[in-house]
Amino acid sequence: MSSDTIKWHYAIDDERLGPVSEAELAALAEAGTITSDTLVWRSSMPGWQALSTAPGAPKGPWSKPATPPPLTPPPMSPIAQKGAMSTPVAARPNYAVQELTLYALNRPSHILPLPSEPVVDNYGKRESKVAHHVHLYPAFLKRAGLAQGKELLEADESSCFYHPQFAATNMCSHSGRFICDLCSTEFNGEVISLQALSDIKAKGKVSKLDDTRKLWDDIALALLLVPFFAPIAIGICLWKWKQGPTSIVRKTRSRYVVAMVIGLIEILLLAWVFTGGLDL
Amino acid sequence: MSDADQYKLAARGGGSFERQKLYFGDDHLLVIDGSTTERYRRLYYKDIQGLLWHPTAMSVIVQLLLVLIMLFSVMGIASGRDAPNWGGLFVFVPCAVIFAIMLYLGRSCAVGVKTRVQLVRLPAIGNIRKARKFERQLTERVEAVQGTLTSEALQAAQNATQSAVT
Repeated sequence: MSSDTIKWHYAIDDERLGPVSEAELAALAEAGTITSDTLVWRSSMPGWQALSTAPGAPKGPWSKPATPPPLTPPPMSPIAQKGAMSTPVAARPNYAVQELTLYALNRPSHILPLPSEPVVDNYGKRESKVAHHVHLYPAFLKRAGLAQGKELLEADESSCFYHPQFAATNMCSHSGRFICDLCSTEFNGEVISLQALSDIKAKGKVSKLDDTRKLWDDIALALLLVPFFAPIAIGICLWKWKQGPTSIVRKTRSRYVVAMVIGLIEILLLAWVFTGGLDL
Repeated sequence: MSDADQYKLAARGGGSFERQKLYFGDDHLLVIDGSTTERYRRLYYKDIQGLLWHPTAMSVIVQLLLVLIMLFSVMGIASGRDAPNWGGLFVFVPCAVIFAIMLYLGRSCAVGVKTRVQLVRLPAIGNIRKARKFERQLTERVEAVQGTLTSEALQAAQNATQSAVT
């Protein structure tokens, strides 16, 4: 029997429809009118069956091979990234090999062979075309400490505030919450949660966590190159004075003082010129 | 003690379009990029895996240019009809001073600090003399935290790596 002569019946909302040919049934499936769960029947079948299991039924979109997941994992949140580190070491066969990799400085895609001494000169010329000086420290051989979440074994065990499925191993000294190893980090000699660290950074009161700073004292000094901007420069100095030195490596507000003095002199000179002091 | 007190200037400099300052902190090397907006990166001594540097051709090119300029200025000085044209000294002397300083500082180089996750370039260190001094100072601090890496430990790790590959 050819596929065109087979007549299929199908049911939507308990209403029997058809008969249709196999090609028409396939078209209905492609259009989404019927799905893999739609009941179908043909003369040789003992009873109604779902389309996906019916023998000889046309293949619909559900029968297409599943697309394999991407090789590159999607971006993860910081906590999820740390969680991903809990994969056991045994699951990463070449972990040690990957760690002991030394890339050339001039060509970061070129790998230099590992030197036999911690300090070597004229090294890696063959691989990178340039002789490197290499000085290695013990951290080069140190494996990454893998944080792991410990599964809760007993019902009365304290669980992590952020990962209820894991047992708490520490207490955040900032918030007092119970946290697991995945959420713990060390800051100023205390164990705190990553969330607490993020809160401290957001408040901006700890210079150790700053990653950028605008140097308003330098901006004020640069503005003084154009005397007409002197009032703006003085305004910036007064506005930012309370914040103290703008760079984390500066100890004093001397630049503010210099900028204000020069700015005042420039304003006085401008005033003198425009009030006819300079007889042009 | 303020946070600024812990920092000791290690190097400052950079290329035409980048300024960088390096400071040694109590437990980290502070890398500051930028001029009016500073961007901070902290490389903790416990995480620093190595220091790499290699010579670059920049100083050789500049020195060749300086030699050429000095040659032309000498020719200019000698080109005076009745007496030497001493005006050429205004070009010769600054070039000679720069040339001498460059000879003293040594060849230009590129420097990078390797950590587990990155290779941080340090354009603030532009010549081999500075690089050697920086290496000495950094090694002192890193080894105070990490200890000293021995050849035996490195060999053992290499052997372990090779056996893992095979």
